[in-house]
This record gives sequence, structure tokens and C-alpha cells, in this order.
Amino acid sequence: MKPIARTGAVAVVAASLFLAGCVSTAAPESTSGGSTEGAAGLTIGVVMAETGFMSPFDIPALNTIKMEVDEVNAAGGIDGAPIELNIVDTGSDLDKYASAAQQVIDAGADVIVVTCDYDVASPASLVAEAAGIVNIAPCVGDTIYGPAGGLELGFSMGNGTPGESSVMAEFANSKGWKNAVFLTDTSIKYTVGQCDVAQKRFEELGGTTVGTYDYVQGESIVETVSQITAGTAPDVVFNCGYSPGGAQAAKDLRDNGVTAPIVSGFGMDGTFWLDSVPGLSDYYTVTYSSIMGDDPDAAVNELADGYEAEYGERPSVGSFVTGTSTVQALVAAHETTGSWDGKALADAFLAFDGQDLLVGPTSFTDELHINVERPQRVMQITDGKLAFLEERAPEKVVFVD
Amino acid sequence: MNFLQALIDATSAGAVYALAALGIGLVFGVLRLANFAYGEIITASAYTLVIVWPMNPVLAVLGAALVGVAVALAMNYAVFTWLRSQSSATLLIASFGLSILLQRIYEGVFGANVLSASVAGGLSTSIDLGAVRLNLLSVVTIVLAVLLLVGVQLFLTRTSIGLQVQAASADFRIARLLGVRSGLVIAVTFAISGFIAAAVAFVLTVQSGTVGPSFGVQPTLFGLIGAVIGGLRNLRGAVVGGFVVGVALSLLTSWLPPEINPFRTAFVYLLVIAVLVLRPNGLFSAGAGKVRT
Repeated sequence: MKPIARTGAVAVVAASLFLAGCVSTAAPESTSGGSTEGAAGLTIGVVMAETGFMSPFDIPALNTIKMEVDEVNAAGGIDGAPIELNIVDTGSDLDKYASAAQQVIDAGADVIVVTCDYDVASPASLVAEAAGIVNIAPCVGDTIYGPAGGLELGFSMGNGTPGESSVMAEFANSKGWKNAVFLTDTSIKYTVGQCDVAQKRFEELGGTTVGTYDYVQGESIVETVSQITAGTAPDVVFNCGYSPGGAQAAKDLRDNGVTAPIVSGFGMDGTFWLDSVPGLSDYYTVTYSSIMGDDPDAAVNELADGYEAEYGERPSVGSFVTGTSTVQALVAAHETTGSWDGKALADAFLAFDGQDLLVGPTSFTDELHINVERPQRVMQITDGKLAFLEERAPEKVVFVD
Repeated sequence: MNFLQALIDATSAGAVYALAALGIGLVFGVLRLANFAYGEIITASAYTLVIVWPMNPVLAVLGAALVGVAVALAMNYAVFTWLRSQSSATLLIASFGLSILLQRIYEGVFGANVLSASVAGGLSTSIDLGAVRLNLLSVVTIVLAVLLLVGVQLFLTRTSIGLQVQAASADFRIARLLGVRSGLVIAVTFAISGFIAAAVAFVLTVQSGTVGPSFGVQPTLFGLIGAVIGGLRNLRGAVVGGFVVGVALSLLTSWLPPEINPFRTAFVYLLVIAVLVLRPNGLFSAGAGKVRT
């Protein structure tokens, strides 16, 4: 190889590998504030994605963690000591989670907070578990986050998929929609479980499934829409997906003549994808909270306004409340235990009985370290505008194997 | 679902991958480069369309074409010019690295989340023709693909520089000895492939209305697979291969039973393996690769 050619090849590969990995090898970002700096207090190691495909889901929760920590520290910290944040951006790279968790634990983390998807976060959670440290996922929806996934010290502040999906089905039933098509994005377990539960609950309520179809992120579903239009006309379509694939599905449905109402879960929350389907109407999402300033909880609207003032834009999805709730839960647990010991904190979490957190009343059980019975927000999209429609708690939570 | 509807859907899907295969095959013909970073040219044009379209549709289309050509030329001059004499494997790895690099740059500039806009929303309209439903975008995609294929064919056969590109594709070393201006030929080839990438971006952004950092990866992957099936050393073969992959994927989606439908992509890869076992150089290629200097 000629020297200049070799240099060119090496430069391109090295630069790309550097950029691919730099986000995860950057020095951890530490933040603390308030008047009590210097005293020994809680250190939260954050192993989340500020870049990469998980970042749209992680960033809102991470930002409100920062805001809540600032607020607690400004009020004097916990027992007079400030909360420290030690943040490592994983870049959504699955290979970095375990090492990033070890990195923050070695640096003295008492608790670690991980990314909002079990499949992605679990390597970090298992490292924390082995070290006897409580690990919290602010907005994982899969009930596997907890003992079912080998995480005795792992808790999610999210709304579990069984509750979310049961609400989706019950909402559709309340509208009198009887025939349903289920569209499932099979690229992650969350959306697969979402449609499985919604279908089971919908049929329990007397609904009929007239079609089930799969897709994966990046695919057009034009062929599937042709199959839908050739079959029994649905009263409702359940789109169990997340953006951008879920948005593509919604656009293909509307562009190709399917006018039936569409119901989705948290994966399709937010306004950032709405411009892709101009004039979209009769679309409903079940999510944590409204980002639009019309949430029934004034504290949620206040936080969204504060978020906008701090970061220059409103939160992209309703799960932003889970970041605040993560810190609230830690503070509440510490009031019981007086320590940051992993087992003691886990026991304190398990003792929660409808604990009042911003995300909603919170309880855990020995089997379920995630909440499935909280009230949720049903959002409605009309003519491309997202707005709060109603608050709805699951009447019955169903599970699937 | 009726057969005619499935055929319309499949032809439209095939046309997109045929275009991607054309862009990839053109560059491979001259440089023996299977350019993985082709997807990032598509992405750059798609960002241009989504950002500029709400302000000025005409400017968006022109801008997307210009950006596609500019990014393709920049790739050539910044990277591949320096590696021209290296093996196909070196070029492939470099293009793979370039692909990752550009995706990270897009993420840094535009964010990890998707940008969305209604690009040529009128083309999304469907016309109900009784037994079948005709989406205008399907018609536009097929017409665009045919026009570009014919345009490239005319360019290759009716212009001096096009004939030089053909000569370079046939035997780069001999073509140079006969006076073909290699640098110009390669640059023109990259520019045309960039223009075609912009056309692919147009179809896909009208179809999806969103663009993210990895937007161009999937069409490039399937375009490349199609080109390999058809024969990377034969431009017409590459185009047919791309079309076949799109059609196969679409028909499998339409007709496979629900129990095995999630494995439709695996069937396409099975087809690729079968073709390569039987025809290692692709369906429409023969003979060994040419040596470049």
C-alpha cells in the first residue's frame, strides 16, 4: 500500500471508530449544586444514552433527573449533603453498558440509573446487581425489569406494558370499536408485548381480531395495508411501534386509505413525528403525561414549563416525569433507611404503598418491580395537533407469557 | 389480497431498490468499490428535502440533487481518490468506516431523533380503482426509475464521457492507456451516483416523511444485495438484481403465511445465498474482475 493511500484508509477508519466510540469513552460528567457542596452524600451513576437511537427516550428523563437533583441540592441536599451525578453517555452502544456501569461504580456510585429499555440496559443493571447496588430504569416498560430478569435490586419507575396495553384495549372498547387490526413492530420486546397484551385484553372485552401483522423499523408497510384493505374493515388499528418506524406505519395506513382510528402506546408519544403525516387525525396514544401543558396534574405542567426554560424546548415525550420520580423515590427510600445500602434501599422500595411520585402512585411487589396499575394519559391527535384527552387507569391488568 | 395489487406494490418497491443498485453498480463498475457509504449520500439528500421543502419545494428538490452530487464528489476526492490503487477489500472497509463517520456527523448536526416534514404530500394520495388501489407515489417511483435508467443508458452510450465510463468499467488499465481521463471518469461516475441517490431520497422521504442519521442504510443494503445478485460487474444486471430483491421482499410480505411472514427477510437472504452458490459472479455477470491501476 502506498503511504498516502495507507494514511487515507487509516484516517477514515480511525476517525469513524473514534466518533463511534467517543461518546462512550468521554470522561464522565459530574454535576452537583446547592450550598452543601463538599459533604458526603448520594452519588448517582447515570448510564444512559445522550446520543444514539435510545437518546430520544433517555434524554427527557435524564434532563429531569438533573433538574430534580439541582432542586434538592438547592434546598440543602439530603441530610445536609448534596447529590452528585456521575453521567456516562453510552451512545446507545450495547457493548458499553457493562463497562460504563463498572466505571461509575468504581468512581463511588451508590445507585445507578440506566437506559429506558431492558434489552439495552440489562448489561449495566447486572453489573450493579453483582456489586449489590440498586439500579433504576426511569422508563422501562417491560415487566422483566426486576426479579424476572435476575434483578433483585432493579426497579423501573416506568409504567409496565401490561397496564399500558390494557388501557389501550379498554380505551378502544370504551369507544365501541369491535373489530381490530394489530400491527406489531417486532424489533424490540416492548412493542411485541404491547400488542400481545392489548389483543388479549381487547378480545376479553368482546372485541374481534380481524388481522395481525408484523413490521420492523425502516420498512414500508404498503403491502400490509393492501392486505388490511382487502380484508374485513377494522374499527380500530393498534399500532404497537415507535418512531420512526411507527410513524412510517401510520403514514402508510393513512396514505393508502385506512381511515380507522389508530391507538398506540408510549412509543408513539410526542410531536416530533407528526409533520410526516400532515393533517393526521383520529390517532390516540397512551402515555405517562402530557407534554403540551394541558396535563390534569399542575405539577407536570410546571415541570414541562421549567424543562422548556432550562433546555430551550419542551420535553419530547411524556416519560420526562420519570426522571423526577427516580430522584423522588430515592429521597423517600432514604428517609426510611437512612443509608444508601442496596439491600436496604430495595426493601424500602418494596415497602412503598402508593408512594406519591410525580409519575403517579407507586408500589412494588416481590415479583413486580414495576408499576402496572397507575392511571395513564390518553392523548388525541387531531389535524396534526396533540392534546390531552382523558386520564384512564386499567380496569383489569392482563399479562401474557 | 388480489394479485394485481400485490404486483403494483412490488413493482414500486422494486423500482426503489433498482435505483439504489444502479447508483452502487455505476461506481463499482469503474472503481470496484461496493460503496457502503452510499446510504449516507441518500441521507444527506433526504435531510435537505425535509428541511428545505416546507420553505420552498423547488429549492428543496434542486438542493437535494446538488447535495447528493456534492457529497458523492466529496467522498471521492476526500477518501477514495487516495485509495484508488488498493484492493476492493480495502475500499470496502474504508467505505464502511466512512458510513459510520457520516452517520455520527449527521447525529451531531441534526440530533438522534428524526426530523419530519410532509414532502410532496400530494403524491401520497391513493386512487381507488375498484379492485386495486393506486398510490400516486408508486406511479411516480416507477416512472422516475424508468426515466433515470433510460437517462443513464443514453449517457453511457451516446456521450463521449459516457463511453469513457463504459471503457473504464470494462478494463480500467487499458482504458487509461488509450487516453481515458481516469480522474474525470471516476468523478463523473460519483456525481451521477449522487444524483441517483437524491432520487432515491426523494421517493423515500415522500414515503416516510421522516429522516434520521441511519435513514439510507436499509435501501443501500438491499440495493447492494440486489446488485450482487444481478452481478456487480454488469450494470444492467445490478439494476435487475435490485428490482428482483424489492419485488421478492414485497411479494413475500404480501403472500407468506402469517406464521412465517416475520422471516421474510431471511428468505431474501436465502435467495442471495442460492444465487451466489450457483452463479458466484451474479446472474448476469461472467468472468473474473478487472485489475485497476
